[in-house]
Amino acid sequence: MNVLKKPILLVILDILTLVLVPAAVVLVVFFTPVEAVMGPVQKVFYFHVSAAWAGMLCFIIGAVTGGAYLLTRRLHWDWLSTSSIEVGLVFALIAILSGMIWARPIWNTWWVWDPRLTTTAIMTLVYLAYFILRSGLNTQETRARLGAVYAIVAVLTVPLTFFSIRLFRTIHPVVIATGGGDGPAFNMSPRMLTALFASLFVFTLMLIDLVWHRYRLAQLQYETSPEVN
Amino acid sequence: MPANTLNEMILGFAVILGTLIAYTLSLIIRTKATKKKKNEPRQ
Repeated sequence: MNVLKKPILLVILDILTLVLVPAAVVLVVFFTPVEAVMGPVQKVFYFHVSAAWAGMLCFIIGAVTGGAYLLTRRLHWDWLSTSSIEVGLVFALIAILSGMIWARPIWNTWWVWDPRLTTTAIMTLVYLAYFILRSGLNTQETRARLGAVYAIVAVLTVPLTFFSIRLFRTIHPVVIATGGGDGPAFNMSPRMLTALFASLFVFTLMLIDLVWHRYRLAQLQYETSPEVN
Repeated sequence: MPANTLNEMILGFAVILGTLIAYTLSLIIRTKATKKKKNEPRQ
């Protein structure tokens, strides 16, 4: 298979992402109401939540495909696992940075050792260590095998992060409120909900697009120098 | 009266979009470099 040729579906996905990301920005900035207390900074929330969702989804994909590698020993699964985790790290970083910017005027601090923030930081560091581990291993087979095991163990930080606001006392708001948890819940208007779901959809699309590109890069790197990759 | 947090909103979107653009650029650069390496004749 010629990896240099871009599949038509990926071209369509690229175009959709390039159109929908600016559209989502316009939707969030100009068509959502300004929150009564927090003001315009609350609009960061739509992309903050979407980035956190995309990051966690990437880490879950990384674990599932890591498991698929251990079962089949096919390198394609390792490429998909490592690609998902790399893209997931970018989204996790976005969630942390945007959360800090949102927190500064609302909590009057950039960072607080709240359970949600702490577990998110732990999750991000655990996945950062995944790449440190891989870079220290010599052969492709060892990297893929240990990377897959690590990805499966590391995914435990995802439910810990997600449920931290329900399990512990926290000042972080509960976005998906089901009655549980100590944190304050959001009361969103229909326009806010529309913007949130639109942002979640756009970020999911972007996730697929970025992981696909990163997967093609991993494939290309392997074909270029299989002894190194 | 909502708080005046327009600057923080602009900073938030700048960081989000800036990080996404930076990662996309890194993917493009790495892919181009690998393609170039692939097309070079092997010694």
